[in-house]
Amino acid sequence: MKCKKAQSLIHELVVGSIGEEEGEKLVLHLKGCPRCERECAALMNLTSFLKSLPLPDPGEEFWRTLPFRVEKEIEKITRERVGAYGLMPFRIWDWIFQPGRSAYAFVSMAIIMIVTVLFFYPRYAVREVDTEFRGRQEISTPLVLLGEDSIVDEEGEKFADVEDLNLYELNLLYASLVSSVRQKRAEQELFEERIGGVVTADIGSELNDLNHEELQVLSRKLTVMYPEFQEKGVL
Amino acid sequence: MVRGSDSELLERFKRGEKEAFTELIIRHQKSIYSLAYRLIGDEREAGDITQKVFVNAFSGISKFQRRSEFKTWLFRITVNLCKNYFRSNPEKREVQIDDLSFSQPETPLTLLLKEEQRERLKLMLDRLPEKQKITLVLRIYQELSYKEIARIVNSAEGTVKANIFHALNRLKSMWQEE
Repeated sequence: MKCKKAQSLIHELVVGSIGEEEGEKLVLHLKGCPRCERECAALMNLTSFLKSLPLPDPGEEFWRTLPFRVEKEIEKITRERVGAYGLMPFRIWDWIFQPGRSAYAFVSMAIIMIVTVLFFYPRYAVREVDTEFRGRQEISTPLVLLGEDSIVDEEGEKFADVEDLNLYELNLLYASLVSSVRQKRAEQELFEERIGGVVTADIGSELNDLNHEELQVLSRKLTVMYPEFQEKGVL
Repeated sequence: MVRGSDSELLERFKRGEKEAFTELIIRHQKSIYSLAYRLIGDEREAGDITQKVFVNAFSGISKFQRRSEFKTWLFRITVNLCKNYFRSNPEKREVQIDDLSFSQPETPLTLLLKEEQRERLKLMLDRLPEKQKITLVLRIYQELSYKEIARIVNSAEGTVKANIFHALNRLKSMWQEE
């Protein structure tokens, strides 16, 4: 056995935790190694001295009255918790953090927090931006881009610059414009297909200027005015 | 006198038998006091801490999960209260090695020298780092296993062994310097 190993075993021996086999090996080593033997003697002497340090006795009265004093202390603490009205306040933390319950409590709270964040935050964020956008919008769609910078309403009144809009608002604007353009184009194509351009001259208006509702009204009037179109399957 | 193992007494206490808890106090009070005194070195404070240990044990009895013995759990409470004591009284840890006090009358020279040596050793023990001191005291005086000590101080067994190893080496160095 090497001295380094013997040194760690000496500590085990001194505190009384060495195994039988290792103890025998250590004893053999100590017989042949004066340095380790001196080390062992010094530590044994030290530990023996440590164990002999006196423990003052607080007295028989102390031991006899300790259970009583503990009981009084507990009663005092209980009275403080109960309070003036004699009601024990329900300590929800004591109930939650009982053994076995705390894990469930933490998992439940974590799930509730995650669901709350996922459910409310995007809506809140969207609503915030949406409100902000509508707060600046004086009229609803249709909106027209005048040139490349300004947004104007149907009467041509400017109410915002494009550069003032945030990304979300730009998306809304774009979607709104695309939707109205597509709708109008679709309706126009359908109407022209059925009516033909000659009707436009008669009613004194450009089809491009009409919205969906107006087109429907026109269609009903034409049905009345030109019944033969209906017979021919045009309307 | 109420008889039974610690587990049986705890069960009976939980069913409302107050005498069972009193028996637990009587059974463990001396070892709790011994540990408290060895750690903080003050007789009066050790007595206070001993009382607090049982008050805390009563209050927290529902949290005792029986993964260890009741005595081990009491020791854990004792160690934590002693740590709190050191935190709130840092000046108590700065013990001067030259500060000797003799409470006994004059004795023959050899006994006097031994008493002086014991006093010095006690002061050296107080100078050990907190973790080393706690693990050494639990091993030397309470004769607990490494596993039990590891549960009390919430460390691995290897760490406990290392702390005891370093504590003894440090004490030996201080002793040899004197």
